[in-house]
Amino acid sequence: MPRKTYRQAINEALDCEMARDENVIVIGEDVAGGAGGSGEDDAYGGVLGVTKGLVGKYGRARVIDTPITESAIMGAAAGAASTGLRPVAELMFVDFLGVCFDQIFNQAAKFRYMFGGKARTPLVIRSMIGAGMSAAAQHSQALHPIFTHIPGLKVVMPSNAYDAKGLLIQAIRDDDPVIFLEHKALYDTQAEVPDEAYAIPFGEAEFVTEGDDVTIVAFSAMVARAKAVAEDMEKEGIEVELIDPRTTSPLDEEAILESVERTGRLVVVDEGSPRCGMAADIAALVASKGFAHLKAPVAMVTPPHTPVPFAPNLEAAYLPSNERIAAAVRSVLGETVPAE
Amino acid sequence: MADLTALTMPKWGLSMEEGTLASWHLAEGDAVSEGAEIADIETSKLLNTLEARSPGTLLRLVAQEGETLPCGALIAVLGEAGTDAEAVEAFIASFEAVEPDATEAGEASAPAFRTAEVDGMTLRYAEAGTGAETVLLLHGFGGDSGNWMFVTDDLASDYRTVALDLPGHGGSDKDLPGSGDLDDIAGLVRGFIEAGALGAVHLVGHSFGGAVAERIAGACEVRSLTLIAPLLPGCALNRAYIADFTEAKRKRELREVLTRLVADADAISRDMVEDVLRYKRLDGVAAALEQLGKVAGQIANETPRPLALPALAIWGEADRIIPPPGTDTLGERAERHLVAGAGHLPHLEAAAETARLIRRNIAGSA
Repeated sequence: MPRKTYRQAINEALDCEMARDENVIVIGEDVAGGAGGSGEDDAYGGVLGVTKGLVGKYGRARVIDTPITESAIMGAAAGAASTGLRPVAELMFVDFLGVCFDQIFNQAAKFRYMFGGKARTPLVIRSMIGAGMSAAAQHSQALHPIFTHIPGLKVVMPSNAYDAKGLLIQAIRDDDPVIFLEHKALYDTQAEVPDEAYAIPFGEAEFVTEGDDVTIVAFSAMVARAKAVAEDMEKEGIEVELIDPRTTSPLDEEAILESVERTGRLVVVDEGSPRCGMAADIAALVASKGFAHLKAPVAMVTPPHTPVPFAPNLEAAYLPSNERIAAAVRSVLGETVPAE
Repeated sequence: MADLTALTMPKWGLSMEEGTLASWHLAEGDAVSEGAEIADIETSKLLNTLEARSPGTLLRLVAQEGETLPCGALIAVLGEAGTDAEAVEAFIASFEAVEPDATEAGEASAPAFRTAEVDGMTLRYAEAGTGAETVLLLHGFGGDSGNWMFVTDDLASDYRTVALDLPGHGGSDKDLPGSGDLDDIAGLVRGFIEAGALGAVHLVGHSFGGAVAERIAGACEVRSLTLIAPLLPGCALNRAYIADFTEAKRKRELREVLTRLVADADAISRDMVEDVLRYKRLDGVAAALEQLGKVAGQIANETPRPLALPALAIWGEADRIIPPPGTDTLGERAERHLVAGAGHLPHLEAAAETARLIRRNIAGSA
């Protein structure tokens, strides 16, 4: 099986679906590369090269460069989706959400509901999340909880290249607005990815490791960190069950509750801010529906409630580290943890 | 120079890169006869037993139990009893591991995936060996050419082996030919035999692939027919398995379904479950499985009839998918052979014995 990067996997998903369905279009800033300028066409293929090659294959009518106005991109995409196209709109950095929030949460997310279930809005919004690249406070946030909060939006957070392709294909085929969040630290990570098209259903968690001692739920780039911790713990005979929900909305509650029923211990690792975030959400889920099985308080590993620091050393301290994840696992196991 | 033979980490199937020496069956100094069980090797998919290809004395166990080594790495040294220890040391020191994939073209057992275009469809197959006679292996419902990895490793030393991915499976197109019934599929495989100029082949078919093989054997010239737990008219097919395999979407569900295939549930690894789940997500697979499941049910509903060609029918004693029929219902054209300690997949669970039986049937046809 060929190994491919997260970036290639996303590109292949777009390519597969654009080839299969002529209604699929791509719209965003620089997705074709330098429209209107004197430069070379498709020089970049998006700021991170994800859409490279598509304009050559599918043409300007289906790979549409836009001015730098997120409100126009999202408004145009929501309108196009409501007329039957399947737009994949790019909101480059998720941090820019603020200027196009109405188009997403008050328009696209509401169409089906407001029009008596008769409207379909097959819209995908791709966007980059996450810290770790020294991109500073305005380009490093993990805002998935904000989308997850809005009924009518589906929210996808692939943690690896294989999932990225299958989840994006599913997102494009879905008839509701889907927010597809790519972690910028993952673009060069590799996994075995089939050449053929495949779809991974939403709301089905992946059991990354299986174990009966502790459940860890982690999202996006945090999955790899939690996996490294799980592998270290295994050497000590501690069996961690690592769950990657893959989508925060819908959320595979059953997988989490079933796992905690066996382990009785839960650690949630998320890169979002701690208040009203996924860690708090899952802790509340288990406290309300799985309390009887808990043998220890739920541990949440998140950044502190501050903007993402620019200084690399502070940014590294901000993100949930392997050490903090391991300490949380030990704490729910009742082991004494040395002070940090 | 003493006559010493290197025993190396085998390469079972195209995806195997390394194996773990789970346990030695023999100790240093033990005499080894051809076919003797030497060690259990664990791949990421399954545990299999390594058997001796030639007799001798086990002079040195190089690999430790629990050790994971790349394919082609030295695991033991075989030679004449009483060989000088220094000669053995020198042999070990000078041994250079050869990754079986990297061997020169024409090397007997270097397997490779190839594709063929037949009636507008792309079919993938794994080919190994360069013998004058060709053995064509057809997997079962939901399987692929990789199911034959242990058996082809053995057969390829004397035969050219071609393990085909049936349409809807593996790396072949996921559409089915025609209306997707047994005749359409058998016709496509005949087209594959003709397109590849394979000539009269030795046919080996497992389960649904057994039904395809039997249908082909009735329609064109084949040298021998070996059926492994074949799906034959009137057989007691476990229909719940077909439905549950087709339906299963989650790993836990699918693992439970897959354990019904084997006598020892531990034989189903996490990787194997993951591979099947990934296969099932590919575009077109769900529709193909649904159609093939229907065809399988129809075949089981038919009235038993004599086989198109005399065949060796191999069954795992603990088969829960198509339980071994009585010799009376199987008909006199089939010689039934039961394999102990195996379920529906004797070619994976008791690979060496199954390979020996296939060889015997092939030799008997000469």
